[in-house]
Amino acid sequence: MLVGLGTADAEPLHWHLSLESGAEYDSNIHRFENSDGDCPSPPDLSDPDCLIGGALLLRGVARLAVRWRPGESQRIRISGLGGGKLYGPADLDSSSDENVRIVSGDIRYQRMLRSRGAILAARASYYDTSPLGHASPVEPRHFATGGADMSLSVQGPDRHRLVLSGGYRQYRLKISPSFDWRGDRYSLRYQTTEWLGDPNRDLDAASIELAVSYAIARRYYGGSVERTDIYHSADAQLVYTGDRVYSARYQLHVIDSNGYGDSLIRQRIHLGITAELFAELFLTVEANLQFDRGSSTASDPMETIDDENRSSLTAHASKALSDTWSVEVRYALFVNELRSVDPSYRRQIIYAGMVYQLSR
Amino acid sequence: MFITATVVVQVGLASPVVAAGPTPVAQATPKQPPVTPGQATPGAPATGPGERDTERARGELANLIRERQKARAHKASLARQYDSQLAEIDRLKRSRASWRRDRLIRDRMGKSHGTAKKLASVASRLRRLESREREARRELAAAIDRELAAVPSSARRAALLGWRRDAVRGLRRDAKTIVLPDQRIDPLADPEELEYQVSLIRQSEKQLTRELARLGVQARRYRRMVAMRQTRQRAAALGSMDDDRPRRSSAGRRDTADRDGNAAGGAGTPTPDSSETPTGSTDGAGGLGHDSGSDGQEGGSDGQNSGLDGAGGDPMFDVVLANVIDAPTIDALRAAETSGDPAVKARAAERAREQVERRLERLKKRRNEIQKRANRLRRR
Repeated sequence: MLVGLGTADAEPLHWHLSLESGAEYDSNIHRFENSDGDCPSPPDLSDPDCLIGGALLLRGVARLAVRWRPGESQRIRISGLGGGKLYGPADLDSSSDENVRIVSGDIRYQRMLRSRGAILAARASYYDTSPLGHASPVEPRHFATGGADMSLSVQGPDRHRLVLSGGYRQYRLKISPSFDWRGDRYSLRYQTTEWLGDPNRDLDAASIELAVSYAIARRYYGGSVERTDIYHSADAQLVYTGDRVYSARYQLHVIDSNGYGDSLIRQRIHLGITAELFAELFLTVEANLQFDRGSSTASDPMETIDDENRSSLTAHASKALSDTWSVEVRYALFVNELRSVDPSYRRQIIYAGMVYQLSR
Repeated sequence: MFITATVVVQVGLASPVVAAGPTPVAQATPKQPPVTPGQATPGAPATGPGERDTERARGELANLIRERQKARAHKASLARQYDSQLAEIDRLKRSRASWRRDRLIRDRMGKSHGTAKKLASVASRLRRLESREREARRELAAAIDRELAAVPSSARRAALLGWRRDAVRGLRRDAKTIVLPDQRIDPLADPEELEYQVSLIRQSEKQLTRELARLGVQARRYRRMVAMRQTRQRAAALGSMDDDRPRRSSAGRRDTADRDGNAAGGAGTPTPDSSETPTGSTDGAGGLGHDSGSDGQEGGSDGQNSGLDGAGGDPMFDVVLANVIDAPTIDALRAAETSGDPAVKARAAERAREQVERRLERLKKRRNEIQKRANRLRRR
């Protein structure tokens, strides 16, 4: 087996800072669904169809990533982000409840085991969403999750790579501890890259990357109901990079819960294309189709498993204005047209912003 | 000090192979016993169209190799003759000035100029032959591939694979190192010698310009690949903050009161198809993003591919530019050849391109200086 590991002595610190900010219009800021889509006139605030409203918002995020090789065969990477969304006034309802602050951090350590042609890695991460502003209430969307993983990556000849990982994660829904969970997770992933043509000679060489994975996770819920969910997920992804980037992905999730005898099978298909239109203006268009099929024996009105069909179409365009500044616009459409039952869902997002980047 | 006007294109063939005569590709196949009709053997006359093409390509390559070897031998002989003529002129110039010395110098220089012209002509012919030989090798490899696709007998297949290996190996060895000519201005040199030096430098400039263009195209292409991948990852990072999870509550999901407390376990819960740690951070320039479902599964495309086998491990820029760019850049090019990461390849190509560009500028400047001196000497 070929040991496909690079050699490197200690290197100085490399860091990358990105500041991004922009304005966005969200047509359904509360992400409500509606059954008939009609809001009577004059509006009735007790009718949720009247609460499907849009608002402008400001979005800002700061990202920092630091890379460092303390010695040969070791690498440390620390990344974090802080940001939030600040909503303007909506037509009929207070939008300030949707203001959100996000903080996350991720630290990874990798060690190359040259004699075995493998890479051992450890990772810890944390993600937290909170109300933005002390006066804002805690919403059902505010949560915190953190976990740790270890992985073993084995590289073979011709860029084949096998990754085995296992870890533990906790989740806390801030508004209600009934939905807090913790559990272990294991996964196996295979990845390879093939080149069409010789990348060192042919000027039209293109790469094809393939990755397939399987993961299983357990989630133990506390609260009054003893519940353990088992998540199975299978994933296959293909990316072609040549004059354009084409991507395709299929995900299958099977979620078994012993809470109320519910289960869910979710299939998700992703198709994407990225191309340069002209003058280094890049456009990415992606479509996500989601099919959910659940079975439930629950008689309790509280549903505990996501069972919506949420599909989306997004278009993102960006252009670098200089080495440090770039501008971007994005449009996203979320629908559940593939649903089997009512209600319907529609949401549109239009975003325009700028990114400032510095690195060393 | 005399200008060493030796020309300068080293062909990186393993000399034992060159000196030993025809390469295995061009060897005549031994006679074979009669075979069953329809069964091709390495030594039997070519029967099918695929075999005929292969044999024709082999024959053509063998002829070109013979011609090339003859041209090389002729060039080596002329180069030796030229060197000895130059050495003699140098010796005469150092001797005591006299009418006889000056007459001899003029005579020897006339002959050396003639030799230099023949040398340039043979060198040009050799380059054309080498180019045709490379083409013939590619055609032979293609003909062999076509014949292999027709599933020949095992003996024929073994022979075909051996010939193909030799043909392709010959292509790799043909990487030419660009050797820059002497750029020092010899104060004793006369205008003709200076102008010959200028012509040599001009040839090197053409070679460097070709490599510069190639490096530039390669760097642009890989930078574009990196930019597209980063744009794609950026689109995913922006999407991670859409927070499109449903605000699902009960069967009375349209009840506004449910917003506050009766949220289902799915609300806000990052399910397996969303980032477990939706930081949106991007990792290197890998085409496979580290988003949905890939938690804990390092793509590791940021430099970890270095050291993996490259596509055939063919030396290219690091051999061709060995005398033009510095050692760390050569190391970077070598590492890039074995890396599958376009970002690594783009950086290495850009670095080499900058160095070649600087060397080319210096070369042009020196050429102009030498040309000016030659013009001044002519005006005297």
